[in-house]
Amino acid sequence: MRLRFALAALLLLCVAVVAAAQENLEITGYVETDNRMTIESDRESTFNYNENTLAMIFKAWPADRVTIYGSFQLDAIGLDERLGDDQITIGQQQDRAEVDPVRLELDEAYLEINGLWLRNLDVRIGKQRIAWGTGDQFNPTDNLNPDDMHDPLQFGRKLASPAVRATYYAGPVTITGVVVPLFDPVLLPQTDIRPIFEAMFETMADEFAIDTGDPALDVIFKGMMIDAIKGASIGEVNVHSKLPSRAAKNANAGVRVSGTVGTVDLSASYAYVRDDFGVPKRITMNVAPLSTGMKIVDEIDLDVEQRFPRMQVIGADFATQIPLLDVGFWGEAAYYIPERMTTEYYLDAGSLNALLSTFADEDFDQGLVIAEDEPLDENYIKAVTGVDYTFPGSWYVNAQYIRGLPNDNTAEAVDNYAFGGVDKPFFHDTVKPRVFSGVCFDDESWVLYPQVFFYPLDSVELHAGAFLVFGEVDTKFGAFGDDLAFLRAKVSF
Amino acid sequence: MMKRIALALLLVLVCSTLASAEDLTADQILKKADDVINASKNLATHIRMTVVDADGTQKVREIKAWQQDGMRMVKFLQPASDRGISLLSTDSETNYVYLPAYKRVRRVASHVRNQTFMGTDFSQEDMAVTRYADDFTPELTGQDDKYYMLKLTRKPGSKVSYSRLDFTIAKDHFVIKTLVYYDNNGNKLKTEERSDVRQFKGKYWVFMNIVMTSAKDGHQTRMDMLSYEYDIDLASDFFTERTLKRPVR
Repeated sequence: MRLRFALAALLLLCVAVVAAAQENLEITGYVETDNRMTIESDRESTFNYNENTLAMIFKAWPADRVTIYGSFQLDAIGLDERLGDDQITIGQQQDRAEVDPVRLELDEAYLEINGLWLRNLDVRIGKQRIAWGTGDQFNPTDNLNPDDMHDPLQFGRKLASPAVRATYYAGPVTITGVVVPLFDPVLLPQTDIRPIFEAMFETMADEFAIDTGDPALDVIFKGMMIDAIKGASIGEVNVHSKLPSRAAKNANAGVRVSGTVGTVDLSASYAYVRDDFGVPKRITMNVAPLSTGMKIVDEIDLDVEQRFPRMQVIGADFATQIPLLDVGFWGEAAYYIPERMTTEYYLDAGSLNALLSTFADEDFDQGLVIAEDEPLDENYIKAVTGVDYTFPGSWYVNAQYIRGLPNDNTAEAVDNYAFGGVDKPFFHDTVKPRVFSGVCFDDESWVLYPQVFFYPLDSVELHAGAFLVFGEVDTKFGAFGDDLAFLRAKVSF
Repeated sequence: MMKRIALALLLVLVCSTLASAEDLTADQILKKADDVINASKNLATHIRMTVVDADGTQKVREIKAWQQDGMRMVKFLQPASDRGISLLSTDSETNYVYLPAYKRVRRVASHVRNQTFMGTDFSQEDMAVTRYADDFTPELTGQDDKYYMLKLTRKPGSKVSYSRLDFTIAKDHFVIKTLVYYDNNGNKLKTEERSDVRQFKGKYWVFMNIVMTSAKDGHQTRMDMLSYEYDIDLASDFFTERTLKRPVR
């Protein structure tokens, strides 16, 4: 695998060197190092993330109205990938890919033709980012690319997708149509997912019931298992998701119409997509009953099978400025219509399944449903509205109210948030401190994100700060995990 | 005898020219200065800005700018970290920015005029002005053989940041040679000096260099006009989001 990376990088480098002499090619990029450590009060802080990146961006114009764009990055990944593993074998030590892991990421690669067939028609084909909406960082109408939740410091980021996009400029109106043939799921962070399912388990526990068709049996088995599992702790959690087939009918698609009315930019959009986070279709509680003792269930392992349900998203957005005040003002809302789906809570009691089957008329060898939930039985709205202003002295202030973050993917999960930030450059934009904060009104968790940017030389950026999380691990912001301090250095070329 | 008559005629001609020039009102002078700025159908410029920090560090910014009928498109070329960022202004209250890193066009309200332009001593507002008479009332405060001195006072209701501007305008071609900017409290903010005035195509007067000096700390930005292109053939949809998103070549 490493050889492939090396060959790919070498190939790209050769292309770059050869093509650099060409007038119609531009190569830019950056080198960045990103180092993070957790902030602990008892001198237990740990370095938990190190990534060193060489990113390159190619733009070429092989013909008058044709643009080729490609961007990739080589990441030397350090501590992040080694979390939770303090052992290394001799064999691994003899493998450079294990000792010094490198990852090649193709961010975007597309071809764009301006004025294809029609003078006002632009067509873009290839892996691309399709950014819709007027919200700042949070865009409920932006659903054609998968979410990138890998890095909490870049929350709200999206990955590019292979797609075909056609944009027609009809005077003051712009019409965009997009087809994304292949579905890609969300890229998840490397945090512990157990709290999410523990919370789900606790919420549903009161609903657990056995229905064998025999009321007497139900009472017996309820006492034996249901009451017992409510008090049990969660052991292993295994989550797996069934991807939609590559059939054409599973493609994602969307259309957006935008224009300006008076002094207001407006757009309306429709997207036929999939929830890229996934929703549990079946949660199987694997119970290993103890043979003796009063407590027959000690620990429950969860096997979670997810689906990526279809959803239709009808969206609209606007951007303008408040007259006389010069305050920037924007808003965006999306009405989500998810495909209805039932989540089944399955009890797999191992050897007791056979016992249960013996007494009941049904075959419970594979376990039985003890609860059902319909998390997608309601449509829901996500929305953003915000304002920004620059006060004299270049004090920039930005505030947004948000209903529903990207990972709030059911009506019940949609919460209400406020985000706000302020920055102010000093010394002719050489130093720029910024403070950014967000709060979830529903669970009262919040984050504080103080940062300072330092630009000592052209194209050199030093960026230091902290990402402080306030909330329990099962809250929206508490789920981000540990408090972090970070230092990044970036040089662009 | 003929020589004397010729000299006398020349003297009369010069005197009449000077007299007509002296007769110009402040409004007329400012209008002529504005007309010089807006003489061509459109204009494309390639600009290098050199910022000199207090420790002597030089930072270089390079942009390409197009303007026509009050609309303006700016594309950043240097530094590399900003390359590809583009600004579009279709009127004083309709501004857009395209940030390549986010692949998104964002509308920005006109409060951004308070922000500095790429860390230079110029503000966004300084870079966008095309007709001073729209926002200021001029007063002729003096003149000499070569220059008019105007004091411009902000008109009531105008949204420009500066309460007052002092201009020195060349009498021979009406190019504004120096501008002194004042804040709302009447304090001097910065001085802009323009030099190397040239004529293009036999009709367009331009300056090739500008030095903006901050009154607060002496910080300077030098602007070199690397090229001017006049009356170019711009597509009818040039000042739109479509062009804004296109990479600069």
